Amino acid sequence: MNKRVKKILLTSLATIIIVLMIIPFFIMISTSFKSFAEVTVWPPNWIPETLKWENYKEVWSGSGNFRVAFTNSLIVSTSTMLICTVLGSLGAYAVSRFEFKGKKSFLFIIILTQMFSAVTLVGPMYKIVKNLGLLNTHIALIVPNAAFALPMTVWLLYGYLDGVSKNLEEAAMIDGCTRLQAVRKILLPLIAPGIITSGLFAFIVSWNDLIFARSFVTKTEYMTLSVSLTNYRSLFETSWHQMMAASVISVIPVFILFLVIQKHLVKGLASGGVKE
Amino acid sequence: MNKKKIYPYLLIAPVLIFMLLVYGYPLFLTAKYSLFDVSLIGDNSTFVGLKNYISTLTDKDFYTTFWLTVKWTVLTVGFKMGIGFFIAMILNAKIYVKRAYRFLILIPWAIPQVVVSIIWIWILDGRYGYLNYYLQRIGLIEKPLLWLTQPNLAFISTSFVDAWVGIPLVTMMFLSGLSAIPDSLYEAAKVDGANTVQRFFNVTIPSMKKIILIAFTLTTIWTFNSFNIIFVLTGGGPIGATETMMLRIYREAFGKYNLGISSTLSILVFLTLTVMSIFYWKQLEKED
Repeated sequence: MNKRVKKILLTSLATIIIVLMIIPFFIMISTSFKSFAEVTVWPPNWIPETLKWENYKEVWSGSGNFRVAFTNSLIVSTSTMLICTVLGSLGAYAVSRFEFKGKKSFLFIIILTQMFSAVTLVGPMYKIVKNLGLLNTHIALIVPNAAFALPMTVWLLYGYLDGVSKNLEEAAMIDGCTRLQAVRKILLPLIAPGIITSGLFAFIVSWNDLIFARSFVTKTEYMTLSVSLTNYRSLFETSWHQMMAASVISVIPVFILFLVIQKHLVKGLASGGVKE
Repeated sequence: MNKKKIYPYLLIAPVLIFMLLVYGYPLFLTAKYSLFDVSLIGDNSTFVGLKNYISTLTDKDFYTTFWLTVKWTVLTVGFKMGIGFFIAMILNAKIYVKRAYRFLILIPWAIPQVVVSIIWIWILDGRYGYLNYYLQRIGLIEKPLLWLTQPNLAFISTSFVDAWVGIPLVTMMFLSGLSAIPDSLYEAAKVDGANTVQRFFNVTIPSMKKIILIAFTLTTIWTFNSFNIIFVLTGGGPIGATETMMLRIYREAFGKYNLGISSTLSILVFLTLTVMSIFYWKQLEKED
């Protein structure tokens, strides 16, 4: 077969697959701009007749009041990200730059945590949170989310740090820099994309959380987006146009972050999964 | 101990302490509560020894849920691995706009899971859903199907949606493996007269063995632990048709307030996954 024909055929096949994989995403966006009447029209319109921006207004400050949930999600996820980045960087630096007893066990524990789901720990956690009087607070969501995102943050950062040779820092230290100076001036600029990527990974994990948010928060003023979305669905079962608008709103931040980091994230995840 | 030796321990100390308090302690409590008669609310708890384990393991419901979870996991992991590998092969082939496609394929994974579930509830809707409409139009079905409210269909639908979210990551893992296979191996096989199928089985598969194993194990653990998607799509229903172990554990604790039984189930899940992981490490060691 002609090489070019083959390439065109394979590209068409790839195109079909990609389209099938992202159709739901388009359905979400298109539905979010429809009117209530247009939502139930068969055959479905792929492109709405008129773009109903009111849907967004309605869920943002009207009946859905997603503004509060959005703010809560931002607070919780940003805090989770900060905790994970700070703690994770220290830990990852230790395992990538030093040989020490217990290093293997430390890494093993990091991997082991991947086996447990939040569901299996949320019961005991609820008791702790309640006894500490922290139900209906942001901190009750930030800390558990950080614990679940931290291992992966360490693992990702470890991968990035390992990709940067020690020699540069060592040379700087021979030239009279302290270790801290060497890290700040040499390593930090090199590793910045890695730190941002793993931090945003933690952000996404926390943004996604439904279990902790459902279990530790009952008051509307502390609810995060995932809970508000599920509640909204059970309240307004047929308001698909508004539900999709709310969905789009909760996708936007993750999507922006995702656009920023996708190249680095894919690399990190791929090497993280394959590394010994 | 000299100063240099303390450094790494000082650096990992914050991570370790944080994890021990927030992750380790609840884990310990789970193990402890599995031996107690304890409610989620209220403060009383009585030590009951292995009673929770005995009542769980002699309960027919437990095995029903367990097998349902195993079946659901097998089906979902099958979808993820099969479709993921296929897509990875295509995206690794010589095609146009490769970079853009490698980015676009990640979209399902980047959408928050609650949102994914809500989109799919809409697509799978019995009356106005897109899927029913188009399936009817091309004549595959006559009447709209109740994708989320008919037990068997709900089982398949939840599995499919979970796979939809999981496929991008699996694809990425496979892609990194496929692109690491040197072209020279294929050239050599070609010279030896191997056709496409033979090259696939004699070059691609053996070179990918390790990655397949890693991807398989991780995907199985993640899928077994899957919660958000099923919870929002069906809540475990209809009549328990999609109630996997994770949903059951959550319901025991937050629906029935029975933290003892919920913890017992958690421990049994840990044991299952641990046995599986040991098997995985053994296989990996054999490979080396």
